[in-house]
Amino acid sequence: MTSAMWKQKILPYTFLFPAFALIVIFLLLPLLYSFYLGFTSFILTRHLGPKFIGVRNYVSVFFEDPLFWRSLEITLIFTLVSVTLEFCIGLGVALLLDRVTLGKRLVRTTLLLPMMMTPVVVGLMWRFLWDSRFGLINYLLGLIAIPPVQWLASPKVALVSVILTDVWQNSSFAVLIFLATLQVLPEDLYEAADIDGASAAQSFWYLTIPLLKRAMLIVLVIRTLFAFRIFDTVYVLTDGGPADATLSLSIYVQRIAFRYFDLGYSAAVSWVMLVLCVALSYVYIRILAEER
Amino acid sequence: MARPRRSHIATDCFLHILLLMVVVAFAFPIVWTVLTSLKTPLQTFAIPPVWIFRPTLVNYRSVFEQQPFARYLLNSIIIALGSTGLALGVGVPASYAFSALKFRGRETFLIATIGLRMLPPIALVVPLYSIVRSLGLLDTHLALVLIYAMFNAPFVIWMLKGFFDEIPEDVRHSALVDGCSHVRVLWRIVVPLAAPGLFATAVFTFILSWNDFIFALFFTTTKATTLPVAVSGFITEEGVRWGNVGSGGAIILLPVIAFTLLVQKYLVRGMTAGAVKG
Repeated sequence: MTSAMWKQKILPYTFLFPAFALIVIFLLLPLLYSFYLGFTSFILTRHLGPKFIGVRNYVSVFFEDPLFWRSLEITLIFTLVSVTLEFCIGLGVALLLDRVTLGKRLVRTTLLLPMMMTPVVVGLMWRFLWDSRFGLINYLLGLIAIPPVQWLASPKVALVSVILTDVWQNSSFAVLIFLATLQVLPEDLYEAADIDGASAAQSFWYLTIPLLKRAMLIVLVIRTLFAFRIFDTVYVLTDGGPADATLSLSIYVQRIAFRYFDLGYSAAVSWVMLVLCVALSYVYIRILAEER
Repeated sequence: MARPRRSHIATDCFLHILLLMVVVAFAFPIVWTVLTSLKTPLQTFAIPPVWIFRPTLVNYRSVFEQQPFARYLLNSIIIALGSTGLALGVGVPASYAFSALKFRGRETFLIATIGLRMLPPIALVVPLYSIVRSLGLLDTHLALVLIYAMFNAPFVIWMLKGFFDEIPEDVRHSALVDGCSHVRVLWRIVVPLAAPGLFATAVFTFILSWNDFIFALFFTTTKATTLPVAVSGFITEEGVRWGNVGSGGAIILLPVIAFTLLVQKYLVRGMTAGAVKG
């Protein structure tokens, strides 16, 4: 092989090298290290270094840790409910916005802002709105004679408040995706359906819904992945409380690592979380690959 | 998409009112935060709430006086700019390789890059903490610059690849035939042609770094603290300092809102980079 050919051959890899070096050092190495930590006992306050204990941590996660299962359950409920609401609200608002003409641009801009906003600030904003004494929500409810609700302090209601906060921020994303698709739907199809005597409901059901399929998949999958890892908003709203009622998996991992300093166990729990995410992404990539 | 339909004035009215309610629900929390930031403490806690009042900047003054808020602001700017620069620096050549070059493992690398975006950051926090600590980089700007650049690199690669793919192949080919190297083609032809896309990608990357909380929370203590961590500190033992949350929050949101307006037409691509083809 001549040196020119050799150069051609390695050129693409030199272009990739900086990005992949960064990713390997700060992403893959940490992941491998955490995989190793998952099989060790390493409590910062007690041990000087990690001590190998085999699958002990994973046995604990699955069989001896009710809080892990509770946290998984809370995360799944949170993900399922908020993604469903975001999907429905997003679709509804996008359809509405598609039909309305007055002030469309301004409205569109307003509706798209929440998803770009700093999650911590969103959490704090809503913490004030949910406040049981000074919050605006209880005040407004008071106007229609509903007694004050302990939105964030009651274990029964806290998850609802967290879900609604997330729905406020992220329905935006669904609006964006659905609206983008609605705006490029082929108009002649609808005209043809109209001429053939299809009712509005029929053309919605048989034309719009199937044409939105791809957009629906994108909304569901991206939102599911991001809802599953929720951290920032919960951290400032409730920090997983009251009585662990809003303990998402991310908050739980953080608590094990930075409150109990149990790095080994937190690594094991994060690997369980990682595997769940990878499984979800795999399904996602498969679906999108089929679509292409 | 204006479909010919016999719409009645009544339905039209109803739809507009419904939309107005939706807009109020979406915009209200933001407006309320800004209003709170302009109130005196007494007005903040007034029930019934005060709607009309003489705005005061007391909360803005106090965040800067009681805390090194100006330094946190500067930290946020330095870290977001630095990581955006680095992410683009490594992302541009990588995207070019994915877009214009043929090589073994191309598809695998590409898919792996999307996969990386799916990982939950908390799973990285614990092992990264040990690595950052052993490098002696805890509480430094450099640590966050490197981490954000790494975390956002897959996003940059996918988004830029979409823009690079739009440049006709002939443009690159004729330059290569004329004897230009790939480096020159990238620098002299692809980058200038994709400039608007590059700018949009940079803005998105900036916002992603600016908004991050989780890494900044664990990897900084005082020196490299960023704004989101600083405002979360307004939750104190004695309660939350709502006035400061309002003013601090408004300061954080201002660039986010301005930048969002700036790149509005690229939002779909930004939010779905990797999921939707280009």
